[in-house]
Amino acid sequence: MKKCVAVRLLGGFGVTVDTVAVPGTAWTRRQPITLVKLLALAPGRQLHREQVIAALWPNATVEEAAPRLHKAAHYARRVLGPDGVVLHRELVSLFPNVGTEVRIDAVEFDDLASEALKNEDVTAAGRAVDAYDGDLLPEDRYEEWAQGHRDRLRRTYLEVCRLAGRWSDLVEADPTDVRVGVALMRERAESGDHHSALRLFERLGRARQLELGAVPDAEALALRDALIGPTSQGAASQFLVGRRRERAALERVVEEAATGRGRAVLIAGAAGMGKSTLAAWLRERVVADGWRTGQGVVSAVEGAWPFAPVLDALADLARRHPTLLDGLNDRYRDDIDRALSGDAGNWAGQNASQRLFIAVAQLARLAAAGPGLLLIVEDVHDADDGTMRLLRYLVRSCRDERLVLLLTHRRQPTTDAFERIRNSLLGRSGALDLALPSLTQSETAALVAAQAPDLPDDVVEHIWSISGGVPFTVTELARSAVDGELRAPAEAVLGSLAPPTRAALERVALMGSTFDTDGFIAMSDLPEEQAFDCLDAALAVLVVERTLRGFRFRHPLIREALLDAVPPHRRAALHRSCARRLIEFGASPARIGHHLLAAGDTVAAVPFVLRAAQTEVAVGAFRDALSLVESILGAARDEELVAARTVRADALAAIGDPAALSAYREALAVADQRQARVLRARMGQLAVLSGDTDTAAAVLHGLEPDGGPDDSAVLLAHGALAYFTGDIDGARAAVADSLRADPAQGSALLQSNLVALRGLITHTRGEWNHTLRAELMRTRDDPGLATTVFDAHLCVAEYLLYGPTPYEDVIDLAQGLRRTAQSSGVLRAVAFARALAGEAELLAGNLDTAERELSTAVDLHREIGATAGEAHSLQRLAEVHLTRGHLRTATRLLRRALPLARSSVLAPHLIQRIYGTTVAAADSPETARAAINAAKAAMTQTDSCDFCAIMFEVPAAITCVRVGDLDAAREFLAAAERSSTLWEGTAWQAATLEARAHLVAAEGDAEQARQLRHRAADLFDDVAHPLDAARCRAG
Amino acid sequence: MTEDYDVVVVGARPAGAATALLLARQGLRVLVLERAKPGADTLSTHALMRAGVAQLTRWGLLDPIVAADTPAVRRTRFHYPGEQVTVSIKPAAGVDALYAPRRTILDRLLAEAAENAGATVRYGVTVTGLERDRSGRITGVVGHDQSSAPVRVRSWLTVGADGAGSTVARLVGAPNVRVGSASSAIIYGYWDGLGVTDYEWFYRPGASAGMIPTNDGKVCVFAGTSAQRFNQEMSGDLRGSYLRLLADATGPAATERLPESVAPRRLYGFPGRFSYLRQAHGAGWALVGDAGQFIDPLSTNGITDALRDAALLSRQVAAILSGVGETEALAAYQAERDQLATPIFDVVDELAGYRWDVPAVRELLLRLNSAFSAEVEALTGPGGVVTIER
Repeated sequence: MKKCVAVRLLGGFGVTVDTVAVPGTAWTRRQPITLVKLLALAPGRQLHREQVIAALWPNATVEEAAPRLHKAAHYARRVLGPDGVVLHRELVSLFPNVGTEVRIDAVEFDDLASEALKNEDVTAAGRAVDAYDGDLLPEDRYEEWAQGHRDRLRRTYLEVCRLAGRWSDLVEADPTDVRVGVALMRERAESGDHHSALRLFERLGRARQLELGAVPDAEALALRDALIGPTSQGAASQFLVGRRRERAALERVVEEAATGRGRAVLIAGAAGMGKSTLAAWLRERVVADGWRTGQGVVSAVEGAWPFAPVLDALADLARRHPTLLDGLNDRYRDDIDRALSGDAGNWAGQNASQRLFIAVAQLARLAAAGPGLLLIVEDVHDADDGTMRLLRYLVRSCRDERLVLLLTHRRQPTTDAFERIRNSLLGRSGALDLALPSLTQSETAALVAAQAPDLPDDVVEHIWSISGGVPFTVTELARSAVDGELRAPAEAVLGSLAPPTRAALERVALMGSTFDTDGFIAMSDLPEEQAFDCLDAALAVLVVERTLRGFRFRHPLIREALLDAVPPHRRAALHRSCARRLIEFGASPARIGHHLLAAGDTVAAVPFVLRAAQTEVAVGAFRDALSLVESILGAARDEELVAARTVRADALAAIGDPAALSAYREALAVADQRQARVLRARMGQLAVLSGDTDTAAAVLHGLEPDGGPDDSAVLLAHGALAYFTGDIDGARAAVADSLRADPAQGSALLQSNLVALRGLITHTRGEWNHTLRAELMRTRDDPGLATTVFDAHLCVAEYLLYGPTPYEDVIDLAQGLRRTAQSSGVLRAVAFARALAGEAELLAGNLDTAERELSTAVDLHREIGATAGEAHSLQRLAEVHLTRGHLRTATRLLRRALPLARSSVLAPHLIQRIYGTTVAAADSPETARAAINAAKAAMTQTDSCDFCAIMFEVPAAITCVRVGDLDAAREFLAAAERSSTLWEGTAWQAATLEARAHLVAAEGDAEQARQLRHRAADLFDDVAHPLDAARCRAG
Repeated sequence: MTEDYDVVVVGARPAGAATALLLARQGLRVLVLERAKPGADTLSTHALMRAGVAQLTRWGLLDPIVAADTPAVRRTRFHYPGEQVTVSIKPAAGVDALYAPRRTILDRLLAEAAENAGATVRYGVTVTGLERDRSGRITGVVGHDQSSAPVRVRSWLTVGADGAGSTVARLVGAPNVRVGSASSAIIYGYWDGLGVTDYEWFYRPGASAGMIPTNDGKVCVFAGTSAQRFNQEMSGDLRGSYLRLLADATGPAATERLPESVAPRRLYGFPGRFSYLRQAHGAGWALVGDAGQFIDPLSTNGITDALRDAALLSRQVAAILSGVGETEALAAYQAERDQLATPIFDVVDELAGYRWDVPAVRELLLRLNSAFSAEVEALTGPGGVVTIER
């Protein structure tokens, strides 16, 4: 009997052999499945082995890939039988035996469609439409070999839909065709099928919702409004009782903001306490004054990706005021659009979040340029790290704008990221903190009356006693009381639902707090008609309510009650089913990955999570990317394992985590030769910046340009190593070669490394300050460029500060840099310039200005995730307080700086300075001595930079003199004197003389000590350190 | 002989013709009296901003403008020293491109539309006086045509749309409710072969310029400075002043483009006028366009403002017809006009003073965009959804 094999590629992969479906669990690896899919799509199910290798292992040589191909074929045969995949000479075939009948749905569709189109046969076109079960292999969305096939089949499908007049199918497949969509919507509406008409409206909107400022088609909107009336939230003021104090406080904030003093407001309260209602009240209130508004919610969809809630708020703002965008630079708009789409491409090394931050702030400024702007972000206690950083940046950068940023949150449970940023907002940013208490008895009665005016007093009294004055509970109890029975809040809402409706809603709740008709039908697992009935029932009892784009659960607590009702053993299956639906919808990889992980299906989650993590790295959400990628490291194989380990290493490097070097090593362990080149270059570069030149030399050894795309990176890494090992000419030559290899220096990572290296070289040649300005001007259009440059320059700047350049000149340079950087949007450079100005002011003795500049620098660095800069600025700020005699404050700041410095690539430079200041800030000689001991114990070999060591050695020597340990003092002083010879003509010679004066005095030679102090004072004067000079003269 | 109309509109330029169009569409008997010939050219920067294009779209008049080969402008470019900012015009408020039609096209089109809607338009008629009843209410106009034959029209409402030097405003004694503190002077001309397809605005301290593509492949290029500087430095040699000012405003990169194209044969100068907001209504009268409000041409929003006034006034006339008191409705017209015009007025007054540096001008342009956006929303509804009225 003839063997029959059916391969399904449309809508998802599956194989049936002689009517028996091969179970998904039979495939334990991904490569054998991919091989089968690839062959199924090939003409005659056959490819040359080099074609297979080029498609599946594009970076590997034929020699490297051949064993992988054999392995994949072997595993495929284990599942499909010995004739499943056959390698014969140079050819690879799928079921080549003539005795096997093979049917492939994509091929059958293609044949049917081609025939129909050729003959313009409407009936045949209809058959082709029926044969198309979905897009080709949706689970392989990111596989390049499938992309061309998928696009071609899809185009063919749209053509046959048109030929067959299957408009509904056409709109479902291509909702961007507004003309057809609206015509169909009208047709459905006229035939009384309102559900379908509204569903079409949602689809039309969904196709454009990822574009900033896209508004619904006017005709479609009018049709929708004619069917269900305009979407209205109802007046919030109608349901707001009490809260007089909070409302008055909010009124004051709005009044102040209207005069250009923007502020954040945090509304805290337990679930159901009325945070959203108060926010909605404020929104109504300011809209009446002509303010613009935008609103986002953290939990709108489960598995959303970083920044989504803030972007949602901006998208809402832009939908309400699309013409505002006439003032937004296309570059900013593109940045926001890309972030909204969740597809930012692969990381090129730049800190893309800086671009996004600037774009977001610019849009906020634009919107706030009228009477005022209110941005609301709800449920921020659940927000990711990226969102919280963006919110804080927004508050800081819009301090002088007519902006109120309203954030609602629960008090428990909260994340560390949230608490950290909440404290920061409440501290320096002066945010208003409003904690919502329970309603009083009279307020409860008023709320009951608003919901159910005719309830008897005893029932109202009873509601008060059991509700605890929680508005949501009060409202729900009042509603249920109208029906004659007081029920617990969740039951009051959900208890009236029929079991199928409730079960459907439990599934839907898993997707998030918002959804549309397609999502509901897909997740409900019910026939369409029945699903519509359920949706109507849920609407009728106010479990869900309509929004412009679909529906949402009326209150987070309702959704939570539904989710709580799902037993754990059912959750995995629901998450899996949810993921499957999301794949069909082409949802973002982050969402799909989230559900696959929640389902425990880590292997299937790998490609989605990996893509999501790559996107997060690309937009600068490094910490979020790390937690994602680490969830799949154990399950990733082959190419995906290389990619996952690379993403992890890149993300760790970007946040300055010392583990980055070992992460690169792990990535190298699985990478092939070609992949290893760029990894080695990045690792070498990182090692150089970490001060670990031995590792850098080892990893770069034998890595030479080969005419390939990574040459520029390779050369720059060699150049950086040359510079830091004293070979300045070698470094210059490497820069020149790198530019020759890639004149455009395509990636931002390369550009930043290049600029950093050139900065260092020119500084060594005495041209640093001019070069810095020139580089800034040249690179002003690429904000991401600055991070590495300025991190590297933190040390270089010390030359300037401790050298003979007058402080006025340094301050001028810093201010000029700041202005240029600000107008170019180079945040890292703005932060650097602030820190530099603060340092110069400190050394010049202008403590108030120094404090202001350095505090701003601390905030700015923190917002953009520049840990080195933050630690550096904190250390300098501590010096300001130390000079004022505020030892405790200084110590507190240093404690904050230390862990940041440790996790920074500049640890070798920063650690010593932080310990040096800690020693100087000790409130007694004994404490200082203890600090020295702690520092010595904590400073490992890698925590040392010969240049920066003096920042610790001088205070340590002086402290040892004070506590009478002269031997130790001599040791520290000798080390300090060695360091000071490295940098001639700086304040460090003066500092060592001062330390020696202390030692000589302790040894009993007062006259020599006096002379040394005076020489030190003169030297301090030479380099314009007035405070230090005065201290030396005062003795 | 006295003729009777519901409304007489003095002036058939955009403000007057659009007002006549909208009132005629409400079924009113409307007469428009215009001193000039049909389709005569006039001083203008031509640029229609989004609110203006949205109005024309809504009134069903954009198609003829497009049909007249008016180039669609899909991007705006802002040039500052060392930096260029591009903003694409994305579809919103029913508008997916901006247009800068020559006034010979736009003005004629609006007047014809008014006639098609039932209004009577008479050219070559000069209004010289107003008629009042015993209470002082304006009841019509008097004047003469080109042959000096007297014209006398009785009407319920007299609308002054006769420009900055409005006879109607002068005769009713409409006071200025606000006057600007600065004015700018501009010189402009039409260039051929300049290859400009976007609105391009140039800002450098002390000077600004604009390039506006209009019909027949021509680009209207203006250069501006403060009226004070213009009077001190620019008198006499208009062409030399123009080119010098243009170079000041655009910098070397843009001026390099100019010699390759054909310079205008004729240049037009505008020495500056202070912006003002006039009382815009009274018993039996109302003012629209420049007759009631003039904002420095640096806003390039003059035609848009004129169309806005027409829309706002016609809305209130509709309210009167549905029973709202006349005084209340006309006061609402002025209130709404002032609410929309004031933020634009404030910004443009600062722009016209040329006391800004580059960061300050960028801030001003941010505010100007915000004000323009609010104007679009007020005219088209929130969310910028436009439906066409025919």
